[in-house]
Amino acid sequence: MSNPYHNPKAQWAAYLVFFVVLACVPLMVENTFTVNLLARFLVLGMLALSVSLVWGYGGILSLGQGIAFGLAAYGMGMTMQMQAQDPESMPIPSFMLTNELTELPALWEPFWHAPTGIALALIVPTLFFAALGTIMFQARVAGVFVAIVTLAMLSAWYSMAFDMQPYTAGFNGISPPNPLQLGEYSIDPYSATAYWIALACLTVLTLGLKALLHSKFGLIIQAVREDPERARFLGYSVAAYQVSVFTLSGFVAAVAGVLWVMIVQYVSPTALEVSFSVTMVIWAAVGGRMSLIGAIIGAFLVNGMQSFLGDELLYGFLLVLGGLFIVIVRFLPNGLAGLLESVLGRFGKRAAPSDAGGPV
Amino acid sequence: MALLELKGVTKAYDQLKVVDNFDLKVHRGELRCLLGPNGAGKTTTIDLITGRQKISGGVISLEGNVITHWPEHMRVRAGLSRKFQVPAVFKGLTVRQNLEAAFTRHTNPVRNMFVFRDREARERVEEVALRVNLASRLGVRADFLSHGETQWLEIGMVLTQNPRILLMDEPTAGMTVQETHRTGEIFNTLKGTHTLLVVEHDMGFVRQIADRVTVMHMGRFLAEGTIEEIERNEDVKRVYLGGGKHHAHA
Ligand SMILES: Nc1ncnc2c1ncn2[C@@H]1O[C@H](COP(=O)(O)OP(=O)(O)OP(=O)(O)O)[C@@H](O)[C@H]1O
Ligand SMILES: [Mg+2]
Repeated sequence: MSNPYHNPKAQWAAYLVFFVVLACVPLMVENTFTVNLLARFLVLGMLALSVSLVWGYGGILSLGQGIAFGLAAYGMGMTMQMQAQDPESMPIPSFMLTNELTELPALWEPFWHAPTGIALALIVPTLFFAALGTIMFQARVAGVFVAIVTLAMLSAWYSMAFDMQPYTAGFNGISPPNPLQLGEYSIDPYSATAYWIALACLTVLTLGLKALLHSKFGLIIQAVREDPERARFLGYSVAAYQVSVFTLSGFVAAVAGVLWVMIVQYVSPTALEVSFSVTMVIWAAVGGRMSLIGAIIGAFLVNGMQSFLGDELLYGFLLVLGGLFIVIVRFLPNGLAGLLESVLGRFGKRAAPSDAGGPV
Repeated sequence: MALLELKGVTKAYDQLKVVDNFDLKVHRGELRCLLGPNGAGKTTTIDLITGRQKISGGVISLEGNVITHWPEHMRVRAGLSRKFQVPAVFKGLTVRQNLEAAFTRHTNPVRNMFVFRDREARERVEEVALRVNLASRLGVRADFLSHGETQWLEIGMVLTQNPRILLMDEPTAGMTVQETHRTGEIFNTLKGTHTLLVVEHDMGFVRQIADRVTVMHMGRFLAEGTIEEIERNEDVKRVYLGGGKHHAHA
């Protein structure tokens, strides 16, 4: 137990400090645009968290996390849009009128009621992941084929969002006129409140998952990642574990989707773009896919750099990002977290071999 | 009633029968060795018993339950546990984690989300680690173990499971002479309380541990008896001498 990186108490302390520091950020930042930008980063960090869970711990390379994110984002977009409609004077969103709909489609009806809408935004993507996971993992689809199937699904949803113009406003996307209304409160996307809501969700999910990874379940999903056949011949239903971890990761990405629309007040098919889901994987790889907090920090760093460099340099940046990914995969398989692990390992080296391998 | 019984078990690839109408009965508390030259069908037989390969014909029963077509993990839950010919352990996890994973009182994922610091598991892991010589290596990642230690770890995982019958495919492959002898001692402590079916090539090891020996050749039953009977058996001599590329050290 010489390496502090593997010391559970040190880990929990690091997590605590991390979230306390994040909570103080709005107290130090005046500019509301910056607060909004940082709130977006929190949501992107949540996506990296879901990748860390499913890929880093579960060993399932899903390129379809954007499905849960996108579906949830549409659910939230529809909820917020309906908050602006009135059953009497303005029962249907204006983009539907321009698409020659005269009645609100049945698909949209439940979204009159915001709590139902938000619940659906979370439940539907989660169930979709449970179903897709069951089909894939019962059939023992593994490795790169999971990446292909999830990618194909993602493209299908993208086309659907794009093509079903009367229901989704197609390419233009849905831009609800008002911020999210929660009871009497209006959640201004540029407020510290919105930031704190996102942070509270990120904190709860991260700490919850960290605890989960210390449970027997956490051990077995890692065992399944290392050698599914060995796990199966210990008596575990490998598919059941894979479906569980895949579904959980879908839920996390769905929470991110809901928060995203609360913070940007807009949803379009870009949420379902292939490139977006692929970059999530890169964030997690950069920060360290086998560390929840590492993956989140990876998302902060990459996105921070991206917005610092600005739009003119974007294409150059994407090239740099691709290069960075190759370098990391080649030399730092556990990203920056892995780097930290080996640095800390140097300090406590004289003692016995480290108790490695635990969730971080 | 036999604990494990194979009746007419067959595995065919197209025309080629690699296991052919094979019968076997293993009784409770027995340590049975399964012997045979390379390619005799020993691993395939273990694969058929555990469900790793699809059976072409015949019946397999465990304690009277016909398990011929059960899914793998259900057979394990019914009391089978196996060690692979090529050692299979969770390389990225520590020795302790490997053994803990093999403690399978609960296998349901949702149930296991609420299992933390299981004391019973911990005690069992430590007890098994002592047995297989890994007590001082619990914190080490499995990919840092020597080949012999890796074999012991997998044997330890099977022991942790506390199954009705332990199926061991070449447990001493790649071990030094001392390690092999030590493994023999481990197996001898299991006699009587555990039922084992051990595939082995090393005759010295077989002599050290076996109660009864079954020999198979080209997928078929060839002979069965005590180790002395088998060593005198003319058919066995012919197969082993004729076979050429066996590993048997006399
Ligand atoms: N997929 C396959 N298609 C055709 N033949 C196969 C296939 N897999 C295995 N065999 C053959 O089945 C026979 C039995 O193989 P098996 O691995 O069971 O032998 P074994 O007794 O365990 O041998 P060893 O001592 O080398 O481990 C071999 O002749 C092998 O070539
Ligand atoms: Mg074999």
